[in-house]
Amino acid sequence: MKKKISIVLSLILALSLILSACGQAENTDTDDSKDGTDEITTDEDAETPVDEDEIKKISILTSQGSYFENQHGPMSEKMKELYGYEIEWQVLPDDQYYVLVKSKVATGEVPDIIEYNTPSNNIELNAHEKVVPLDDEPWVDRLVNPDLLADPDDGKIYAQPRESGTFFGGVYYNKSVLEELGVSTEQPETMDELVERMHEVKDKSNGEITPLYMSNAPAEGWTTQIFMTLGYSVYNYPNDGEIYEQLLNNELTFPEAPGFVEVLTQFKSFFEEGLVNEDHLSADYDSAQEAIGSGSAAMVFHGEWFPSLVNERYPETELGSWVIPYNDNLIMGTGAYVRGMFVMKDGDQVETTLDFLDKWSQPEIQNIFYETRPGFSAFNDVDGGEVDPSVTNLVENYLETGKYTYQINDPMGVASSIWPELWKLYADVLASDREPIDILEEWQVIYEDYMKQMEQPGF
Amino acid sequence: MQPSKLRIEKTLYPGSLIIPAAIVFGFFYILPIIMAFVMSLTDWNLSRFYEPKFIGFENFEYIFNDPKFLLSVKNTIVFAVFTATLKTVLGLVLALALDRQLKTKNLMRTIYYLPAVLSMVVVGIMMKSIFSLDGVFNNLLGSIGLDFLQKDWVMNKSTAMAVVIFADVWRWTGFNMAIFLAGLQGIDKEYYEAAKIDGASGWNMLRKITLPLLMPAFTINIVFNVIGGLKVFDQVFIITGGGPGFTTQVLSTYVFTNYSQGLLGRSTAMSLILFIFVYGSSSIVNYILKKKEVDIS
Repeated sequence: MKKKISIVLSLILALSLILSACGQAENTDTDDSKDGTDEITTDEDAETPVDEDEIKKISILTSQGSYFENQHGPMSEKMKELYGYEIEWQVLPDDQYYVLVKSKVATGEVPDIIEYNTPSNNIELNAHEKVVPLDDEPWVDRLVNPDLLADPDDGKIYAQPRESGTFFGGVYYNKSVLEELGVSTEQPETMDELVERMHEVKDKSNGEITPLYMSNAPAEGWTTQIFMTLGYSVYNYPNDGEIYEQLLNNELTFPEAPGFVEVLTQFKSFFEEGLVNEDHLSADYDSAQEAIGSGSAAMVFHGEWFPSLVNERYPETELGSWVIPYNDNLIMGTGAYVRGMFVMKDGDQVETTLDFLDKWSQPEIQNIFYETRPGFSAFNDVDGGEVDPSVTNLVENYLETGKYTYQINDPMGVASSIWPELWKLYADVLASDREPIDILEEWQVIYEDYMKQMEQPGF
Repeated sequence: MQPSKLRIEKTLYPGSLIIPAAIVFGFFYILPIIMAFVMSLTDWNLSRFYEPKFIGFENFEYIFNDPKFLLSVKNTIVFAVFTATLKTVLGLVLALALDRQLKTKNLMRTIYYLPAVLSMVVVGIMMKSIFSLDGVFNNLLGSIGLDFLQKDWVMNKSTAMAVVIFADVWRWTGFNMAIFLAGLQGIDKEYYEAAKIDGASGWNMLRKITLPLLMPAFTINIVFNVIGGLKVFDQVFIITGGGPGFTTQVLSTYVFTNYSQGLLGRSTAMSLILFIFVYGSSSIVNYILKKKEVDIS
């Protein structure tokens, strides 16, 4: 009898578990859809939601540093709701992005869209052969800065840009920290003046505030390089382009290139003079935002992405900006690239992907991004929002007045896959007793070998 | 047919039964090694994925003249020697300490073994926070008046390798302990009873009975430790990323760096050297230790 009762009870229990699971699944679906609708239905004239049967899937490969969940998440929801496109974001670690993208392109195992910098990385994607030219797409007429996108070889547009310009490099500082210490917030006219400001911060705060915050952890090589990648160009302006041409043709070596040793020596001196956070070799990008946002550090060398991230976490913090006066040149170093979406010819559904890009470029989608992360939209009918004054300062006073030059990474894009080795060498200058000239000599060997492997003319 | 030959044939399986295993082994082990050797003689890279060119031993010439590769070899040896020694010695000490009648014996064994089941990512993050400038270790130093020793241990050129070694030793000592414990439990207690009757001291019993009879456990632990040490990747990659600069760069991370640059032919050549290095070292260690094992059968 007991056995029978236990069998019956077990059956009831199993049945109730199955039923409750089904019930939960139904509830979850309902909740999800409700939450999604609450979150993304901002337009009053939103179109009728697309049926599940009409959903088209688009795969996009991107890197961690370029994917912003708070913006891309809602944009994806809206795309699904309005146009029936479901996006599968394939987000890869930054330091493995190059090799994985190259492998996918080489083997033809590609997603519909690959995000990369354009036009600087067109060569990495073998754009002339592997990417669909986009010059005739309907959204091209709405571009703010189409000239920047032109491929250096054939002048075609190979990617839909995310923004109209990027990497407005300079010193970003916590305004209230400098003001409270009585340190001038005027643009320093010379490098000595900039260094003097840093010493002032250190002295006036009795060492409590770090004058210059640097994040040189191994995975953060891209932040370590900022001072040099901008510096080589600004230091040599207006002859920087000519120097890069000579380096590319093997007519000049890095140790001999004018200003390179000087820029690296200046970089090292910040550390030798005790102006940088002691844990800079293990500090990361995240801690840099925290240090500036909280006011425990005064300045960083970064691009326009930095203020928006600080603002997200520390809305009360006011930031200012200066250009870095290398060789006493008041010129801004910037990037000749933007982030772009490339449609791969080997993708399974090229026509659908082109239609997707058109929809993706529409204001009702793009505005979602800039509502919470103001910036410089690639399209003239998209509202970029209110950009941080520190960024506006650089754009209005340097970019719009033509007082800028491009970072070394763009004209020398062919070597982009080995830049991380150079960034490690920069960190080695700080971690060891090595001199800048030793680093550049070691780099020259790596560079020559790589260019030879890539069969570049002159090597 | 001779009766003895008939018996042998009946007891042996037919040779054809080895074919499936040989195919799998050949396809997944032998063929990749041969292909790796062939590709290491080419300039195969991501830009010319389907058009590698034969360049003879140029990759090997470059590798053996590359100061960073030689530094990686040195670092790998340092890491392997220190971790293998420390894990073996500490594992043995723990095993000896816990191979007795303690109330907390099982609990202690579990605690010491626990790090071995943790993910390396977790261990790496833990180590970084313990040894960072404002981490637990520096706070401890400060609290006992050793402020002058406080530093960024993870990214200091002179201490970075020590931190990585410490992490590996901390993680795997418990595993070594488990192997030694199994070995200790296999030693017949009668040896000790006989030695006691003969008036042997504890030290002498350890030297003359325990250690010789533990040689199989030593062989397993040391060979595993040497192989693990020479192949180290995740500890270095997660904790220091090979830095600061190139201070903790080891062979596996250097292979990965070259692969990341798209230099597939060269990184394959490096992998091949690593394979020979690991295979050769572990075979030698195994050969030496096997000779020292005591046959008690």
